Amino acid sequence: MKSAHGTDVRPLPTGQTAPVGEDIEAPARRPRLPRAAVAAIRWGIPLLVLLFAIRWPLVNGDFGLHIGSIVAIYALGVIGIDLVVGRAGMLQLGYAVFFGIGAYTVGVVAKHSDVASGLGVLLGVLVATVVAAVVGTAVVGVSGYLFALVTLAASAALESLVRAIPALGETAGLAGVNRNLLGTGELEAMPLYFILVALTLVAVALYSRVRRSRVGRSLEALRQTPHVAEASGIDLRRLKFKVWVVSGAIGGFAGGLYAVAVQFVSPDVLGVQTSISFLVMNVVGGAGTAWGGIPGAALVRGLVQGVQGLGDYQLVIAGAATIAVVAWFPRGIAGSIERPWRRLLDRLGGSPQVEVSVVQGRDVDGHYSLSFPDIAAPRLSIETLTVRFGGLYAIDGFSMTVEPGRVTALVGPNGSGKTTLVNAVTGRVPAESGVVRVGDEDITHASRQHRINTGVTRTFQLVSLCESLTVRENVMLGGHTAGTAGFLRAVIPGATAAEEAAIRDRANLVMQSLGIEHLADENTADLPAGPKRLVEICRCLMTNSSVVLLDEPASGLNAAERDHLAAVLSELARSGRGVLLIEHDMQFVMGIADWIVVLRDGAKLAEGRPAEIRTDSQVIEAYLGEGEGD
Amino acid sequence: MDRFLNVTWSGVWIGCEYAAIGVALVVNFRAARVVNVAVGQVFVFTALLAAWLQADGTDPWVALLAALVVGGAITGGQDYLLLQRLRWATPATLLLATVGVSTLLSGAAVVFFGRDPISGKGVVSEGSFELGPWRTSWNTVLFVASVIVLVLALWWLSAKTDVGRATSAAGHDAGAAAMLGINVPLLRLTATAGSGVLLGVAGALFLPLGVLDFSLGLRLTLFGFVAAAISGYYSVPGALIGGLTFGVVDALGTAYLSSTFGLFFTFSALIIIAFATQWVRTERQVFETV
Amino acid sequence: MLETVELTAGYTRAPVIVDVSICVPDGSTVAVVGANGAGKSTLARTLSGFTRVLSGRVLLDGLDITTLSSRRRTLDGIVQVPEGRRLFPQLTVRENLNVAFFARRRLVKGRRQALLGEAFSHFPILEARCDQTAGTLSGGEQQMLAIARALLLEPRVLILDEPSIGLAPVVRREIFNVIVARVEASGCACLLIEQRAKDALRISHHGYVLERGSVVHAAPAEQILADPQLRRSYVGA
Repeated sequence: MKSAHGTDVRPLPTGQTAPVGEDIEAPARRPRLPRAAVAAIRWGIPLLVLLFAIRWPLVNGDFGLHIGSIVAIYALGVIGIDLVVGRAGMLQLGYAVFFGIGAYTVGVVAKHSDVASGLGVLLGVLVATVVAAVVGTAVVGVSGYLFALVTLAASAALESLVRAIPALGETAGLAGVNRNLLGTGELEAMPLYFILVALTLVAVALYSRVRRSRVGRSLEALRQTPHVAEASGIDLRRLKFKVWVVSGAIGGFAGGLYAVAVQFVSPDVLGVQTSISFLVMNVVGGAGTAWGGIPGAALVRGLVQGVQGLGDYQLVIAGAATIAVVAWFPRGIAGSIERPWRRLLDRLGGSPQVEVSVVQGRDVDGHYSLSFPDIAAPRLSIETLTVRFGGLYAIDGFSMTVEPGRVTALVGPNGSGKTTLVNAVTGRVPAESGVVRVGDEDITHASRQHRINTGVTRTFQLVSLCESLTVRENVMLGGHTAGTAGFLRAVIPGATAAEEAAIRDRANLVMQSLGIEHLADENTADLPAGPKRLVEICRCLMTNSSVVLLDEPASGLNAAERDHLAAVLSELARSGRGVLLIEHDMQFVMGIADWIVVLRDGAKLAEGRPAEIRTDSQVIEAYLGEGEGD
Repeated sequence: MDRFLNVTWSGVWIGCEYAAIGVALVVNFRAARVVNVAVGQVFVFTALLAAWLQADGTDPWVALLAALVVGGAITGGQDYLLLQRLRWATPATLLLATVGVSTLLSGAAVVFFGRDPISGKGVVSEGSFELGPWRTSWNTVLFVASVIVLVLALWWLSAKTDVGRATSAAGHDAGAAAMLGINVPLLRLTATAGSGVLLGVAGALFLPLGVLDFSLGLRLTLFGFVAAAISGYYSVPGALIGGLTFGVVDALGTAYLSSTFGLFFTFSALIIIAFATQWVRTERQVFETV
Repeated sequence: MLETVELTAGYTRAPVIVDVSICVPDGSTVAVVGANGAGKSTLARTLSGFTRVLSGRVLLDGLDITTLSSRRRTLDGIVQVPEGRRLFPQLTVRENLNVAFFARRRLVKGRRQALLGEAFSHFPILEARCDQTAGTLSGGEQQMLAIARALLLEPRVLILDEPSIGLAPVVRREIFNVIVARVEASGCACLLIEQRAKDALRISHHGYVLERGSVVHAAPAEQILADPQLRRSYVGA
């Protein structure tokens, strides 16, 4: 077969990999420090900073210990709001609801019994989790600024409500919380401080594991490219719900600890000021980072309470810091440090420079060596499909089939409905009438997940990669449905090793097949268009993709990248898959398609082999305009 | 009957407070497509400023003038200096920015005016009057009248004048407006500053009616939001009616049902609005693809 | 006269149009055609000031306007009818037209009436639908409104970005006729960016064919129309 530019493309027999040709350069190496030195810097400096931070309150007596304890508790609480704001991307203005529930549970327990307050804390977590679960189903259906205002209203309403309930102490609150956190008797200030610091550090360490886990990947996709998350089979509402509940649990935990630390609870622990305070701590500290809560809490609470004369300026500092973050430092304190720090470590460690524009996999003759395992794919049939938006018929009684084992191209002028068709097949828009069939199965009204399970996958018109994930992680996102690990297993070291390894191995294999495995650890933001497109296709191939729908994959690609893409598409078809190619670039289409369907104003204008279509006068007119004599 | 009338009247003037904030929200949205959470705190800040000036011996009219100038400067400045610079910001980022401004303002209020609740003098005499069963003060009547007049003026400006129509056009599609030669940044600044003037006037005139403190800002924004959202979050007179309705229902509920009625009602109203707008918004999206 | 000199624009790492040089003389209609993805929209957006210029210049009657804002360009006489029309759907036809006068508030009432009258004579249907909200107009009527609105600004250079999208043949013809009439009457320079090459070239004096971001053919319109290369550019070799 021929590529778009006429060169021979010959896939090697399955299982063999071609040797790397001379046009691939060896990666450049920079001078580097010995590994021990790099490790010393990597662990040593944060450790020193940590030791200093822990020591500071100790030298300031009881007052310092108190502030240190409060900062630790808030830093822990910030993890909960970070899940919602920094990871899931929802603006939560009522986090104090959970914090307050945890605190009040401890207070109520203390009011009615003498048990160790640690039990109250655990009970508080339970209550907060239950409340989160109950309201969660409704809340996650709301989005945007309505979500923000509803959560704000919840915080304000709850504070007012509690102020009016005698059993909860009304405005004065509840006092008399003991410090018997561990059941071993009242804790002094210093041991309590160390326990809280330890809890916080452990929580941060566990939370940092989330980022690289299966859940973490799905959260990045949820926040940045939700349509990609959906296309990878992720149930967005369910994910948001889980995040919401975990967030509530953490909030309740931190609130309970707070009640133990200050030994009383008052209504403002539930209120708007506390909620906003948490938001500010999260954003200023660094939303999306694991340890951002520490500098955030230190700045917003620690600084103003610890330094003389700053007390009255707490809100001014918080407000100014928030504005500064929004305007100049979107990553917050921790986020602004993390990147340069990582880059410095990379540079010291002498990591190799990867040439991101070169695609590997060419053998000595310049042929591509792609090989996908053969599969038996079903036919995709579209029968008299109609899709309507208000009064506009985007697709009007359209029928076509995508046969396995060949490349079918769907072409047509701008606005003819090509992308809408793909959206209808994948379930992104509903069909008004007609049937979409995969093999014998009618998927016209099936859920999006189910369609993916039947083997239908797609790429998007605008290359959609999650920019905060590496190439490999983007590809692994495609394998989301192959795993089951949620938050719990994500934080336990080793609990997901086997599952992650399986997904990673498959990702490596797929990337190898498309010749981009050397880019696996690169940031997707830096890639040129061609490799980006290939990463997207890799993501598709992580599932049992037997029908691949590609929406304008060649746009933005240079000549060499187009060649490679053409080879990939050919190989996909050769391996038995059904390939539907939507394209504007007719030269590309003519070189690769086995069959062409022309769409115009939502209906089929013509179909046939490339040679027939090229000379079809109706097609020419559709593109170019009327011929002579109208 | 007596009680009913007076409770309703208290709902009316409280509703005017909500309406002023709701209208400010709507104006900000129409001109800039921003949900400006700081409006409640601007109301509080300008009111506290007027009270502070009065306590210093300043004439209440001058204090009122200061309040409206500062109010306009704050909201206008917030839009022109901060929000307009955030060119590629998501709605979440913009919301966060206004939360930051609200927080900063409450902090400034603490620093300048202290934490204690404050009330102040009105611009007219302290006297009250009765009209049958209806008992009220001149300042209350002035407050209600001023808010209604100002809101109607803003409505006329925004919907019936060329400037207003150009401003809403620019809010709808800033790029298209720029392509027609319209000075979008200036129009945005004018509209948002105008909303600040409304807040300043309302704040200063509210002083003899109620007690305010530095922490009330976001709560008041919530009430204003409900007032605006009841009528679709795009109508200036709608926000006025929404505010009055909300105020009256709130007052009646608090008087006849329970004292905690207020915030719970807000909360439930918001939830209902949130779900109702899910349907309305999809319709509006289709309509907007011109 | 509008000119671009080796204009390169798009994203810093991935320019969409490269070294595009075109010239639109006063009193003439110039067509820029090409298949989708060729860079036509980017060219239009760059000319209106919304897409960043990476290198090259844009000249209006010899003056360098490359860094001028969109608003300034309009005030200097470059008016664009953007792709997708971008009307204000909640305003009526009349109000949409009046928004165009906002930037030219110093115009005397008489001149405004005259300009409006001219617009209505080109598009009588707009006068009939004067008080209807723009969102309820048909596609063709919306396009007419968009063009009428642009004409009220008395452009020295009129740029039309894909005016025929989604329109029925009869309406298309009507619109193209108005364009021709307008150019002849006012002597403005008209740049027509169109996917439907033949329709555009037939009413143009000169044409440029864009392919993958570069100009591959520049010639008098009739020449391009007769050239089989044109078809190749659209439907492949």
